[in-house]
Amino acid sequence: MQMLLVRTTDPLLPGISALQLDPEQHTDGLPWLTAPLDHPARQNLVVTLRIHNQAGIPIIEAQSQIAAGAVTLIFRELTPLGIEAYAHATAERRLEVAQRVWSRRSFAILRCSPL
Amino acid sequence: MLGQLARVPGYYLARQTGRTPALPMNLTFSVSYRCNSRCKTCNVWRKRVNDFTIDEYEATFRKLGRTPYWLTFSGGEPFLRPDLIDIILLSYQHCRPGIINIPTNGLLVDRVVSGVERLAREAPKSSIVLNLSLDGIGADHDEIRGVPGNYAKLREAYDGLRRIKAPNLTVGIHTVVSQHNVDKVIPLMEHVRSEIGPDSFITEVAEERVELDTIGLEITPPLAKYAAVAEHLVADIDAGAAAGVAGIAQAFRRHYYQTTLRTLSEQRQVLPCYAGVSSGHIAPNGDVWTCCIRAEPIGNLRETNFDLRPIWAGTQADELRASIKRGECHCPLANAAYSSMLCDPPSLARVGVNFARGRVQRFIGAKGD
Repeated sequence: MQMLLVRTTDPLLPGISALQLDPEQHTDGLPWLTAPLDHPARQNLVVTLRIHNQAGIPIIEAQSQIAAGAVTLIFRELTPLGIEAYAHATAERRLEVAQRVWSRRSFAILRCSPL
Repeated sequence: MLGQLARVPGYYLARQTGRTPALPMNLTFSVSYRCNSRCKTCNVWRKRVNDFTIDEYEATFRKLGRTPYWLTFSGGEPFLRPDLIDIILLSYQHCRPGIINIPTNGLLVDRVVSGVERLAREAPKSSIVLNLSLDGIGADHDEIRGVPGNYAKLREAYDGLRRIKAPNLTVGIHTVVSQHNVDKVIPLMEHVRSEIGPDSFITEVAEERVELDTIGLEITPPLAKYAAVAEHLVADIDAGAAAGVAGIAQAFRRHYYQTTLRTLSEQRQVLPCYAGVSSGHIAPNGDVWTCCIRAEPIGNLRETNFDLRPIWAGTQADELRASIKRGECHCPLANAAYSSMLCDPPSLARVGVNFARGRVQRFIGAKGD
């Protein structure tokens, strides 16, 4: 299974060093990302994901909510930064942009806060 | 200018301490993403947002007051806005910048020439720097820019601009060094010098920017090839050292080319970046960015009654500045690099050495004659 390295994670999410790409599930052409938690979440959390390219530029972001007791982190909808300027474009064009941007993924940073 | 230099220690201290800096001395306004070029190195023309109106620009300039020294009006192709010169003159009225910089593809020949003539006349206390984008000779240029006849139009625009008699106007050539032209940039430089003769010639590396939607495009030239170009650019500066202000500009440019090469080679922030401190960027819809590389909105002027201050002092700005300071990103963006050099003491020292070297070379050259 393909992985995306997590360079920095949050103290509330210890032990996550990589996100797994789910080859079966995707939204708008970009895969879902998942990671098992070391132990069930102690509280409800909002987790923000930012995917960076090799130069450290954030290129994709996503948000996920974890309910207390959950054991898996899942990002279902990845959004390329700046894609809102393609609101007028066709779905095919947006897909092409999203996949081109995705091709530059290098590492991820996770931040979270209590919900 | 001296007043601006007095602000530099403040930017330095703000970056060192993490305190909110004063408003930036260097601001870029992308006035629209619309563009009549179809460059292989840029997708900005595909994007669309709700552009600021001229009234919104005036409100912004009024609130900025006389804080920015260097204003750039970019795009897209900025001259596609029929009200571009009116917008810039409003910035002159309210901000009185020392330098007004406009990059253009030169395709709208009459609008560019008449607009710049009017701007130079009606903004006499600002230095107007008009940079024509040139990426190849003749058909090579047209091919890279995606517009047949572009080279001829550029030459026509250049000739028209040269006919403007204005002491405050600098007409330059700007070349993006990319995968598509890196093998031909050195002949292009010779061509620019011998056939065109602009007041200035600057280059920048094609890079992946969120603003231009070039993430994932294979446009950045291979390091070894760019290194050869950078060496030539530096040697060119050394061979033709200028005096006075032009010599100072060359000294900065020499340092920029060397820093760019190191940034690409070492893949790290070689020059401490002051984006978000001494420089900033306003998108066409009023989003405020620290720079166009990251293009991460730290706020929108439409939500602050066109006042940059609360955005500049906001949490998002602080977080982004901290990330940049930690060196979490790196790039060779020229616009931000020049104001970073001004704020970075080691870089300033290097620029000083470069300038002294130029003076020595001029002296030796004069003796030789």
